[in-house]
Amino acid sequence: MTMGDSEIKNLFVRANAQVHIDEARKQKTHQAMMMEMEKQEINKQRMEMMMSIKNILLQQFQYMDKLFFYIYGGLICLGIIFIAVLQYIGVSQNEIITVCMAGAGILSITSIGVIDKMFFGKMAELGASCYFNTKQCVAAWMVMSGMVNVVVLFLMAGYLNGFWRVGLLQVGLYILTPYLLSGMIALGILSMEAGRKHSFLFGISGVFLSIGYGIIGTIPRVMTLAAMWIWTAVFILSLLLFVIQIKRLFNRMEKGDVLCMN
Amino acid sequence: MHELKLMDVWKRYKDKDAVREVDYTFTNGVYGLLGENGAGKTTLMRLICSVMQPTEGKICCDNLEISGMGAEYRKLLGYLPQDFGFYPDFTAERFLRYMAALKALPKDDAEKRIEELLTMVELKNVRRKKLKTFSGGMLRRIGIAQTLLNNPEILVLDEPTAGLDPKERVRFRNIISSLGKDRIVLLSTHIVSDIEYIADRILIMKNGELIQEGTEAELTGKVKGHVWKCIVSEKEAECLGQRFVVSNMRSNGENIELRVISEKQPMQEAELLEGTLEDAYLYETQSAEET
Amino acid sequence: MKESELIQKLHNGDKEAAGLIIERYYADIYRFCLYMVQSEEDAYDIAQESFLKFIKYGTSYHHQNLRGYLLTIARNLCFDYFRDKKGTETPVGWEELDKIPKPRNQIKETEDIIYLQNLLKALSPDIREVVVLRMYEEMKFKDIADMMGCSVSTAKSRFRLGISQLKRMMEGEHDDGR
Repeated sequence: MTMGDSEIKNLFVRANAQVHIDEARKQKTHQAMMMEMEKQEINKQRMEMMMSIKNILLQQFQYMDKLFFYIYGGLICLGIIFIAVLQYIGVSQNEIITVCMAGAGILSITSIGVIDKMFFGKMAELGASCYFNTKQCVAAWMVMSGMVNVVVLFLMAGYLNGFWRVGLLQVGLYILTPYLLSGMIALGILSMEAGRKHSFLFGISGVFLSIGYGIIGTIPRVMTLAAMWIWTAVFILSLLLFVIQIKRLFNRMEKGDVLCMN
Repeated sequence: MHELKLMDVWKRYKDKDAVREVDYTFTNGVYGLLGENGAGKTTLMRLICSVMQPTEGKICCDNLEISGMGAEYRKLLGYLPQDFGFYPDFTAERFLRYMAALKALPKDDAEKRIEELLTMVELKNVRRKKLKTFSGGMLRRIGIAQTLLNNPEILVLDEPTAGLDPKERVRFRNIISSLGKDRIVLLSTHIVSDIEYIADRILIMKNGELIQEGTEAELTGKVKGHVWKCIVSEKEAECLGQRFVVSNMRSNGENIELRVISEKQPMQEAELLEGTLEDAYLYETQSAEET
Repeated sequence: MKESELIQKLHNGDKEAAGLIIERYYADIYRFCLYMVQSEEDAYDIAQESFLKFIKYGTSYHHQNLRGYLLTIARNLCFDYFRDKKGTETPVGWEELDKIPKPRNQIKETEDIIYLQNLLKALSPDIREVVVLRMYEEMKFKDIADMMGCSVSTAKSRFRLGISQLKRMMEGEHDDGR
């Protein structure tokens, strides 16, 4: 504070001390407060007890529509079976990696599609006004499906590394990049206006991306160490865009327009 | 008991302003929000329920900004959207249990509450039936039941009576008017008779703005001396209809009986009538058009 | 007693807690109102209204900063008061701002408060508010901005403007009087 400021401050300090407070008025306020307190019903029926987040999620899970979980779980099982079959009939390393890439992409899109089905659409607006609102539901279930996805991806990585002797770092890049890329696109679809046929778009993009990954898999020398730097660059870019998309989605949920069918 | 204050609230979109400069304070009681489609009622309600954020201005509950309060505020809310969404394959019971979970009600309290509410809305006998089998009126009733699960202190109902038959409408009005004593109830409609007699205060919205508010008596008072009965021929009726606001038209054989709202006497033989809320509403919305 | 305990007691209807709240915060809130509305009568009324509103509406929340909450209620009431009074007050002209004399015939005990009141009267309510909240209540700009519903930079610039206006008025007096 400059000299002038402290002069003003001192003026306030002196003035404060000079303000006279009428005790009678003060007591009058006190009386008024007590009268008001008497008027209020003390035994309000408000439910003060609220469940913890954990319990909310458990209860929600108990009552919600689990169809899409089953589909999600089913797809994972199918994927595992498919890979087992491929291994049995004999494929090249490149081919199995490509399949895993497509698998990671589908995993990503499906888990986001499931969230769309569960929380967006007609229930979104009503959910937004609840204690545990739509945004929190989406966040919670994204975290949980994310954890499931991580486990699946780990298994995939372990499989490729163990059985096929692909380097761990490479494996990481090969399956995380499509996971993030597909995820980013799925999040983009989710952030679009409500009322559009989201499920249709998830399906279409899933198919197209898988084809895309397949094509990438056929490019000569794409899986060699030499191409690693391209993979790394794409991975970092995908990660960035993925994070941006998540932020964007949550921003739009906060704003609310994306939740209302209008 | 709460005080909900809207301070200079705007909701702007690229192509239009859905809510303009709304400044209002709600306390306990039933508030009726009147306005035609597109007037901004739904947007205003969404803002109040913190489903959407205002572009300008703020909304405070007990002098605390609701955007900062988060779940603390939503704890107090009960909202029934116009486009009431639900899972069609859910039974009424399961739906209520699901909503109770989202409202963080402990299981035992939830069960007790669900019993009470199903009784109140008279849907106890269909509790195990799937929602997709419910009629419009039944869906609205389960909608209201859901709203009341957490015994909300701020109840917001967006066109709750749309598509209901007269009997259900009456049932609804009775439920709502009993709720207004200890909480803020805000309900919107474009049908005046829905809120007649049950609203303590009425707010009229047009083009996003709150153009008028007051008790029923105050609003009908404003239209005093402006409501006329005109008995004319069909041709004259057409003429009058083009020049003035006509709130009702009835044919009694040869002539047409018009209920005209006008500050000046519309024709020589016009007879003054007692204004109703409907007249007041038409009067206010028409005046807003002219300014 | 900790604030949270106090509020809880108040919520449960403990009358003693009401007395404690008054002891702790009444003077503060009254002085704030006085600086804002310039009239003792009105300041007492608004201060009372603030505490009543707190009892009516505010005891069911966990307030991190009870003083800030009471001030928010008070300032909202002050602004309602200004809005109701609009048009009945004559605005202070810029020429008059340059020279606010220190009251000479006043009893020494009250000359500062009267002087300060005159200075504050010359500021617009928005600016007055920031100056009082910052100088007297010593609030952080972030809290002031939240209360006023503006950005931190707006609050800061209003404050600087207010301070420079005050300095100008005070210097004007010095030139004249010394």
